[in-house]
Amino acid sequence: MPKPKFSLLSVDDIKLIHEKALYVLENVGVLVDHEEVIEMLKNAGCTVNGKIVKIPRDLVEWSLKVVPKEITIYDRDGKPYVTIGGGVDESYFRPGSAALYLYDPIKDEKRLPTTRDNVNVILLVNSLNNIKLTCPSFVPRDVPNELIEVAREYVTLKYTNKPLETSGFSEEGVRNIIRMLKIVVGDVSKKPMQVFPACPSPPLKWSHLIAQNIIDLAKEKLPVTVLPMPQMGGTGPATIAGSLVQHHAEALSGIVIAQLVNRGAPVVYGGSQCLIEPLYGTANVATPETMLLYIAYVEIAKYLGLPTEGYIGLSDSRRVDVQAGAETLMGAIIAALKGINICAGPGMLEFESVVSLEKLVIDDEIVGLAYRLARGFDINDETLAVDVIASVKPGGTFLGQRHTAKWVRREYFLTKIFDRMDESRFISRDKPTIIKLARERVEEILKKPVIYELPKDIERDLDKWVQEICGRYGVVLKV
Amino acid sequence: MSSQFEALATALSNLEEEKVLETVRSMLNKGIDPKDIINALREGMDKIGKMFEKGEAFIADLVIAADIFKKAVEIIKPHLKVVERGKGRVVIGTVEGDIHDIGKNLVALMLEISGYEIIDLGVDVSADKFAEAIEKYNPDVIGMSALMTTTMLNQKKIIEELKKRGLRNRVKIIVGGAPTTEAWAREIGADAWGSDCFDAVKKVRELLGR
Repeated sequence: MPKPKFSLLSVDDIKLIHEKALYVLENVGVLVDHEEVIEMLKNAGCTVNGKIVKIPRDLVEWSLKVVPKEITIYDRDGKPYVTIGGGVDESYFRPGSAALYLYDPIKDEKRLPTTRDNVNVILLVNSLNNIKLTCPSFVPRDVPNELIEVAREYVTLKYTNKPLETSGFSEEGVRNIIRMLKIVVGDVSKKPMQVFPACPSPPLKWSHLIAQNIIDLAKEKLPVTVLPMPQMGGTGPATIAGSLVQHHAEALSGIVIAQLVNRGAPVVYGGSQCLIEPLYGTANVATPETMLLYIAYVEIAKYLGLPTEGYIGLSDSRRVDVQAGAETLMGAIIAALKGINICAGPGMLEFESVVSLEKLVIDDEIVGLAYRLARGFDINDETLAVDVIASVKPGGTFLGQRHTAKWVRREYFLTKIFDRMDESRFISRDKPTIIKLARERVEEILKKPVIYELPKDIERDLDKWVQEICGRYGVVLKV
Repeated sequence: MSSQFEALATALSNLEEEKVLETVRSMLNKGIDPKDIINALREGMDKIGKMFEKGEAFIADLVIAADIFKKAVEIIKPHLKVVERGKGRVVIGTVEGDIHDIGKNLVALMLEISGYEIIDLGVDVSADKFAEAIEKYNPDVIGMSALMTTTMLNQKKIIEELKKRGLRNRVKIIVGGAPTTEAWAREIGADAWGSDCFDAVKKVRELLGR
């Protein structure tokens, strides 16, 4: 089956960038704000000067050798769900996170999100076929800061069996997530159902928080996505090649740390870079330049045989508008064609800070378009259709052919929200805008949501643990 | 509808051509009233039409169903007995901008076997063509079909044009088609509305008193 493919870097380009990143690690080093990690790196042969750690090439090469090349992610029921890395060129999208606001495109306003909004995201994703992985998109503001991770994890584990990716915002927060995972799936290392992004602070710095997160996660062999996010022209060089070198150096240093904590700890090679808009100073994620950076680092990661992730298939627009569609589709197509394994983006707006439920369902469709494009098409006797062409004859019509009835179902991706309606239906449905159609879809799904219930005994244990910890803060969490 | 008719309707909506045609033949052999068979086939077309509206069937399916339907009607036609002739003359057509003819053809067929003389103007028929037909054939009734909400507006346009030309009162006008309603017919100044081919015959009979 021919599929559209494209490539950007030659093997020589990849080797050159890899060499430059190794040079940076060996000669410039990374700043590590964590005593224990510094000690580990020192014992492994790094040169340490204060908090600056210079990592020798052989340590990086050893780490690349021992890091797993393939990760199987399981669903909540312990069934294998997706395998990433290992030459797998499939993309699995999940909702963008972590949004500080919810945008309502009908009222055209944003507001602070609550736990209920996260429930809605999880329930929507249960019904969205193209969003294969899940994530509670919002930072809920109806709970104290100490309980943000608990509230996000709770609604996810309670309402879906889809694997998820979420981050922690504090050391204890990540530990709480791990505790909850253990209640639900037991030994988290055997059948991981969650991936955790860990972002270095560009340029070339590991904060104490993230370093500690990596320690806690790698010890449990929970998959960590090392997620460099150079801001081109701000916390990274203005050039794409320069930011790529920095990006790769940061990613490699993260892989080294994870392998020193626990040899064989699963790591995903990720990225969430942006571009500092030279006039406004805003951090733009969905630009052609950042796309080039995504394509480049993903090619390097795939060359090294690693699973990949990108914060892609999202938009910087403030509204659910033409810009939102254009930017999201640009990323989704690149992600699907390139086979970026985990793609975090759907629903996301405004410089990775806002999520709209309506955009999430529109993006499900955008991802569907991208998947369809990436699927290519079959060439065989039946699809070549010479018999049908012969029976229709010049001047005839294919409209009523059995071949047509069969293949419109297989060959086409049919939209639910993108307007392809005939005039008659368009008028009878009161000339709906895409926003209105998206809102209708959101309401339709949430009216009869698909819920994957936890087994009763496990749910009881989880409820008990959550209410206990919430009680410490005087909070009753009802979802 | 009894189960055998229901099975026929379902076979049509499932696009099972052989089964539909076989069933029709065997029903005719058993002496079942051809009108009842046509009614069952019409239900089958309704069924797939509804599936289409819900997005469960596609245009290709509709065309295939219509094709099977036409073949079935061809088998039935010789069995339909024309009771009496000369009850009146009806000019019929699908209005301008619309090329759907299944409903219109059915109405024409049912009227014909009910004793009316039919002049079928076909599809995409303009006000001009209806006007010319009135002058030329001097019919008792004009029948206008439209399948789409956009083209049903042309039913109104045509009636207004006939008024302008002073032809409106020379004929009775009946309209029909999926998006039309009794209220619509009244609103645009038609004399009657037919909900389906059987209802259309009933209404024409009422209009002409024969």
